[in-house]
Amino acid sequence: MANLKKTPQINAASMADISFILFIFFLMVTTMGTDYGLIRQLPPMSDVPNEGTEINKRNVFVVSINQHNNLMVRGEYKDISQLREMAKDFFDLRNAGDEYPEKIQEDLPLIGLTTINKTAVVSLQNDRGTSYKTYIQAQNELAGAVHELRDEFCLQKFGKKYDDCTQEQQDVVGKDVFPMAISEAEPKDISKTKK
Amino acid sequence: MAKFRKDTISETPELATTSLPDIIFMLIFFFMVTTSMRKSTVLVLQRMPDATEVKKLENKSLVSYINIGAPRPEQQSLLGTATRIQLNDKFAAVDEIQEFIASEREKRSENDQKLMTTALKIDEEVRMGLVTDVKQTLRRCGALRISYTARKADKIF
Repeated sequence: MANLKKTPQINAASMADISFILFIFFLMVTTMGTDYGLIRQLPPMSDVPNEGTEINKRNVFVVSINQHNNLMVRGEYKDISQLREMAKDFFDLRNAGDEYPEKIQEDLPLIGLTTINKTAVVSLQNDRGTSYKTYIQAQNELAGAVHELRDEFCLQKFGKKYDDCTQEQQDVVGKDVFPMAISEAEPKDISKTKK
Repeated sequence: MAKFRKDTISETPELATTSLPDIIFMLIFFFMVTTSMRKSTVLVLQRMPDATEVKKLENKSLVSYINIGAPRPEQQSLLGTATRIQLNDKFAAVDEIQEFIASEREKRSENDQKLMTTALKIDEEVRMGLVTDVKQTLRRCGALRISYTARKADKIF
């Protein structure tokens, strides 16, 4: 039994240091922050100028921002903090009248017969000198208006918020009832069109 | 009594450090899982605008970044303060974006190409003229899914 030797223990004292070096290396080369952003879909570029498709004025919610970052909403000077309420008012399905978009009755899956906006789009126009910050604020307020309306609609129909709805419910509400209709189309240079 | 006390004189026991490497390894794994590799150093100054309605960008491997802003303060004596576009690791002109998008596409499989997102990381002081030019170029090359990178805020007013 003399040859029953103990295996010599490995000295693990430096193990901690080695793993510390690895740890610091990872801290240096990786980035932590998750990216958040406003996700948008650009329209495809077409060579044909689409002058033929003139949308009725009452269906368009025109927001223009000039080079001094002043806001004009449907022909009136407004502050950016008013934009969300105005956009909500414009898209609201209960509002009828000449200044609101045309309504249409449609039979939608999961919801049934409902009144929806036939076409209602936001046209966000800016000058070349507009600051990006103001533009994003406007985008954010418009998106916020649509999100709030979706939430209200879903609470009324399904009893829960939009984000908690099933994929099918979200598809119907997100595509047919309240689409994110912010036109990123042909950028208009406000200063030029005035000439 | 004194007899007993003699026996109880003790040294402070040594701290067991055998599990320290395991703890650090656990930390490493945590960081490996939650973070992603830094692709390139940002050469431009970036203060993202605040927004409340932001969504998280899923699938970072499908995202290509376009940075726009003034050069960093330490480089401003060399490069000036004019707004610049950064693609990968260097400054570029607007018409180089087309090439950049094409090379980004090549890196991904065919299925992933449709899901590619271009994240526009733009400083809040940038004028919209340049942003519009970039957007028009992106439309021309068919990179239609974009994301305006913003900082998540609870309220902006």
